[in-house]
Amino acid sequence: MFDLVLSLGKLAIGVGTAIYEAATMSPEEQAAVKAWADSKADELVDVRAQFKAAGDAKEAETRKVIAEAKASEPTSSER
Amino acid sequence: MNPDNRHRLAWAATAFFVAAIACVLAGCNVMANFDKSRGLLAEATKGCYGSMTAINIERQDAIQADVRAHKISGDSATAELDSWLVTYKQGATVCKAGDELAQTAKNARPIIEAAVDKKKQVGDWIARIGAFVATIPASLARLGITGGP
Repeated sequence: MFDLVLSLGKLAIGVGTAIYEAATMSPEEQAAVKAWADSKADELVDVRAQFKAAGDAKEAETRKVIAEAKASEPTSSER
Repeated sequence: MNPDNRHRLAWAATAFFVAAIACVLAGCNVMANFDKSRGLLAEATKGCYGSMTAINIERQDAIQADVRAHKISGDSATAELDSWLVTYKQGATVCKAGDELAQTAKNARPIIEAAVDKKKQVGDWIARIGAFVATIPASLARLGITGGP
């Protein structure tokens, strides 16, 4: 119960703060928020490329490790 | 994404978007709210990609360790890897959906700003973005993707 009250309190404070901030925002601040959002969207292009590269590299590495392990496994005739 | 962070992300997203919608309804700067929402969406998407990368490394390192220690055979390791990669790619589509939504929101901004019903459109966008961000953790959990940062 206490947690719920605390959470609702935090939410109310968050809502109040956000409304106050947005209502009192100057044109310069609005422009800064737009620039920030645009830069975050642009960053995603690089993040996506890094994500793909990291995924591909890790898969290649794991397949190499598996291939090496397979090569060192005894064959059926050796067993 | 561990359960604590999942809970925090869902909670933060809900709190922010409730605030943003309340703000739009209260008549404060709608475009600034739209921009904050899409900035947060981009951050959440970045977090999604980061989590998926960390989990992928963790899973594949475990497979490598098992096959190196001969706990599993090479064929079993290949099967395990292929099975994980299916889940990983499904998880990646969740992140990519956030990515596409962030780019669409960025491209739509000038149109929304010029629209007559700007306030309604921004409200719709914030609700859409909020719903998406709040469901990222649940979407990953449904795929059984747990652990990581």
